Amino acid sequence: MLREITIGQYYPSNSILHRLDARVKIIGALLFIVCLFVFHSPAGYLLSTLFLVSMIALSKVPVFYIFRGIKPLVFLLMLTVLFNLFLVPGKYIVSWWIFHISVEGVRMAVVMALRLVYLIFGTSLLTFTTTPNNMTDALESLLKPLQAVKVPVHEIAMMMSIALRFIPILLEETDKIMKAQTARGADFESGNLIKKIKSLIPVLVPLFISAFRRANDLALAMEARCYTGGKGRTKMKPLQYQRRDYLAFLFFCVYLGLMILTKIVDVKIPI
Amino acid sequence: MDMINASKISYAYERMDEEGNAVERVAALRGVDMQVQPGEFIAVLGANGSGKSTFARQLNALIAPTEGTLYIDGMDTAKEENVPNVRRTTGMVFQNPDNQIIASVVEEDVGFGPENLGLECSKIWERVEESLKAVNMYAYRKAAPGKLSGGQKQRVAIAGIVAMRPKCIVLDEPTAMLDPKGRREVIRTCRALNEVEGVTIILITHYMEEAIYADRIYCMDKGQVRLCGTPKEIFSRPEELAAMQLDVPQATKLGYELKKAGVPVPEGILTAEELVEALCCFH
Amino acid sequence: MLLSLKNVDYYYGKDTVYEVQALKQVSADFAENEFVGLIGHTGSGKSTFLQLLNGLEKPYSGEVLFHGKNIWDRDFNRKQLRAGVGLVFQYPEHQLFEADVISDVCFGPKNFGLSEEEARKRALWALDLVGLEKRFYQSSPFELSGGQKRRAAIAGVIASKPEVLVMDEPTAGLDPKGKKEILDMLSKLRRQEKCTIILVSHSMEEVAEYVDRIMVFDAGSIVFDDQKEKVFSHIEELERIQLAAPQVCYILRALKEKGFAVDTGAITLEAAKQTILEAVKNRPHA
Repeated sequence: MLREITIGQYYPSNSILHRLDARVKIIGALLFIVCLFVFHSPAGYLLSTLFLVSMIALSKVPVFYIFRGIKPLVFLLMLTVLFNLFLVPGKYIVSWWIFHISVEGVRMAVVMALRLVYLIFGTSLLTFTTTPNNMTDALESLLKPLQAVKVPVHEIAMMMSIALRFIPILLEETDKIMKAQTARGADFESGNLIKKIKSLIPVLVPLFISAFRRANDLALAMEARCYTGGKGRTKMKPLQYQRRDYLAFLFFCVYLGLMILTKIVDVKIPI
Repeated sequence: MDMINASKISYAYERMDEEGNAVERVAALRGVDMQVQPGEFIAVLGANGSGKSTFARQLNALIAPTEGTLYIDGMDTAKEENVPNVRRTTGMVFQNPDNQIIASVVEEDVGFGPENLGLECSKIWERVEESLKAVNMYAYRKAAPGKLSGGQKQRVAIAGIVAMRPKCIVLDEPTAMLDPKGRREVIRTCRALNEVEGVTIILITHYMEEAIYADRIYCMDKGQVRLCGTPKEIFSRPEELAAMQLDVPQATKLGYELKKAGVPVPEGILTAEELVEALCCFH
Repeated sequence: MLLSLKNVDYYYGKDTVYEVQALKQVSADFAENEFVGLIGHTGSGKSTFLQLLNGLEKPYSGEVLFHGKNIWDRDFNRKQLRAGVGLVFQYPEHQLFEADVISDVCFGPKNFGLSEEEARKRALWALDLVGLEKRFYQSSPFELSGGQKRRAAIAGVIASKPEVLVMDEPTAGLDPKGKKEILDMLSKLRRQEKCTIILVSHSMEEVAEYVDRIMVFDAGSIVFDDQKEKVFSHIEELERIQLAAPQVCYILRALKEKGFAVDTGAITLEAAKQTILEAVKNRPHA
């Protein structure tokens, strides 16, 4: 069950999107999200949709794979839709007992759902096409200016990449410990909440001990391989903008320009 | 110059109770001597708790001796300023392959050491390629470590060390968590590095069969070196080994038993072929 | 029959692109008081097989029967099944969690419904059986040495007095003496408690020495299931699936080729020694 979560995972492929510099992709994803929230005219959404669809097509990630990313957030999505549907006042089209649905409510519900889904799609597209290591390298590079104010940017990036490497290992380990305790008669399903939480102790204690042991081993291994922090380190894969990255930036500028245009010209699209 | 020159090194640490007060002083090493020449293949045998892992950590200057001196390629490991160079000279491979692979892609992990050394980008790639080929894992350079078998992971870890071009590689029970196939792969890799590249190898293990390829074997017990000699010399003394909670390979044991029963078999048989040949010779 | 599997299929990631068939039409029977060795590569399906035996995994098709009852029947109590079929995972010491050894060993028996007092009695019995010294009973399991931790963890399963004890590589990572102690302990347990032991091992010498019957796994199927002597007579087939026979088998074969009248069916050190001594005695000196 733990293995079904696809959000935040990397999908190996060799598409143009996979080959783009991770910094470009992060900036692109940020731009997309900002536009999503700033320009909410119908024309704006149309542009966002076009942008997203073309990116998904370029990424070569199967569409069902991207849709699976919503699964863990379905509950949140439903909640948002229901709240908007029933609680936004306006011209009611359906009224029954204490429930009223207004035109504005329907519109808000659709808009909010769309925003959330687009947000998830946009960010998961970023993680699907970028390896964890590229991502941390890019973040390190983008956040470098913060070093001036004593933010340990390299250390944070290193911690992130190690965390990403060990998440699958620890998930597998959790699975194994749960099975081993089940074999000793542990029961994780029945009982009330307190009982359930208590039943997790035999899993959590060994898991923490294992995590600490691994951390200890890893620290020793890193030290043995001459790691002394970010100072004096070189990069095997230094980030360098290529022609395609500049083209991507150009594309983003056009996208932003068009978005601003929808605000100025106020294109009328009847819904 | 000796690759390793340990004279009477001891190491003790304080065991703490829950409040962090020292309860007892544990002596993990008690006067260990070891001289290793460049290019030698050394096996260190010892039961759990015999001090062999503590000794391994000394060789990489992860800890310094509390008594005695340890010189690695002429450098005193107790001197703080030598530590970076000692670590470049002796690379270290640990038991659990999962806990020493840092990156999520094989080639990036192998590049981690050279990156720390501050090498130029093109040099790093050269070394990564070369060391992955040396351990026969080049085909997997883009793979995720999680998808590899135990033996493959351990070879990646070895490549990560080879990429730093150490003169000596210390392997601390590298096969303890592997299946027989993985163990064969790792041992074959060690032997190739020793024979082809001339790297000094210190293999710490408690699998007796892995030690028969060594030039010399050191047997450790309770923090001391009890026996030292060629595999033939060491395995001629199964009873002394048993006293140290160690064992001998099955062919050796059979040869020893036959000899005890009066069959003229020479001492220190190491492999099945040797035993068969010996029996044929006499009959 | 005590425990059996009938035509079991098992898949990982069924109906996804990653679908792998871990077991193909596997059948096996285990009777009372047997000592069975399981050998095969990592990924040959052994681990899945073990987890099917006590209902941790559910077969995709086929049946698992304990005392003739299908363990996946709606009214079958799988929790109690796990008291009857004890499973010790690889590196069991990684599952210790209580503040002291004895409480940890009590965890299983208490889960299976024993009273505090009875669980304690069982724990003391199990700890004595695995040979852990009394002075460690009250200490934290995390302060023990590797071998001691392993024993404490094994005691935690034995304390439920299972009729079938399944062990996944109980000797992994231990030194030669530690290995021998664990295996001797298993033999003793089988003699005393008349339980059935299923042992997974990578060491052919270990298996040849201790078990009676061997099952060989390869690519999700059982390729051999027979008395150990018979299984190890198929050296070529074993090597084809990258396994091997104990070293003495190779020695005896080579001697036979050189004209010694040895019995190549011997698979243990002691038996090999006897047959070689006899052959040497009867052979005129060249």
